[in-house]
Amino acid sequence: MLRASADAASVSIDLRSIGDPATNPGRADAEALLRFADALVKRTADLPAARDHLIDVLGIDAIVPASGSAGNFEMMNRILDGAGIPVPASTRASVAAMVGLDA
Amino acid sequence: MNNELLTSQKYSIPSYMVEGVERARRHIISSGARWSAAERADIARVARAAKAGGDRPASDLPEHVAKMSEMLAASAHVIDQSTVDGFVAQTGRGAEAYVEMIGVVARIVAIDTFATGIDATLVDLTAVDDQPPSGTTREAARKRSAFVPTVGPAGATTALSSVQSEDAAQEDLHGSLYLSYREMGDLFIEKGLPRWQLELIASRTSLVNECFF
Repeated sequence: MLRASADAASVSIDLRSIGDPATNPGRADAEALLRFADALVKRTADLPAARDHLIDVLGIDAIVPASGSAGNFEMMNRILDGAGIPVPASTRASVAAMVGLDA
Repeated sequence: MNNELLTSQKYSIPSYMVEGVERARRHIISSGARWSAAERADIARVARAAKAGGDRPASDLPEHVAKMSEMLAASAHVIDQSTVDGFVAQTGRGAEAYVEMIGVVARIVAIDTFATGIDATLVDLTAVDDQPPSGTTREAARKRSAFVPTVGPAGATTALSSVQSEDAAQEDLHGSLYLSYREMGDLFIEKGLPRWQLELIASRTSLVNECFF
């Protein structure tokens, strides 16, 4: 879905940056969003600085929807894994390759 | 009411988000299909602590229920069919009790993450009623390819479908924090942020949680 929505918006982003923090996504907004998501979901001490950085890059109105998106996927990840919703091996392999992970 | 989301002056929070979080909170701390309000509140408190990396709070939950709450909150990706079958057998309330737990834990983690992101106080989790569990589940649910019974093919929108109230609560919060199921079909939608930026956050969140769906 990310690849489709990025394509729809004519946004170029290196999707390997999702799975590999050493890979630069190629955009300052993407880098700020990934840093914020990391700090928020992992509950790290970087969260206040990551939040401020995201405000600097995208504005204060970005914090609420970014937090909402992270919150929603915290929910969905637990529902999918807890309920054991199957992921086809082919899907797992293609997603892993796209985001820079070993399948 | 102890819900700082409603009074935060730091960020402008759309009313649909405030109201959606409050509906989710009230649902979590109300009696469900297989668990009482007090049990659900305890499950949520244990999950909250596990997600935050804190000590387990005091509760009246049996040890295996508290452990499952912690596992769902902090390491759901390691759960397999044998984990679920063992829990269901030990609990003795049917697979729907486990499904209900998934919903409760998933939603408290979601609204805690949202609150943490906007630097708000976490919502209160005091049980609001002393009614017995309703026992209401969906007879049409069948064991298919997932760990739990579902109504129709197993998927993201049917995972909790054996317990209708949990299924509905999932859809409600999904629309409040992110996109409604209908909005999911619009690749161009902008809901606070452009769709691709919302999904970038989603992708990294899923990676951190080791969820590959």
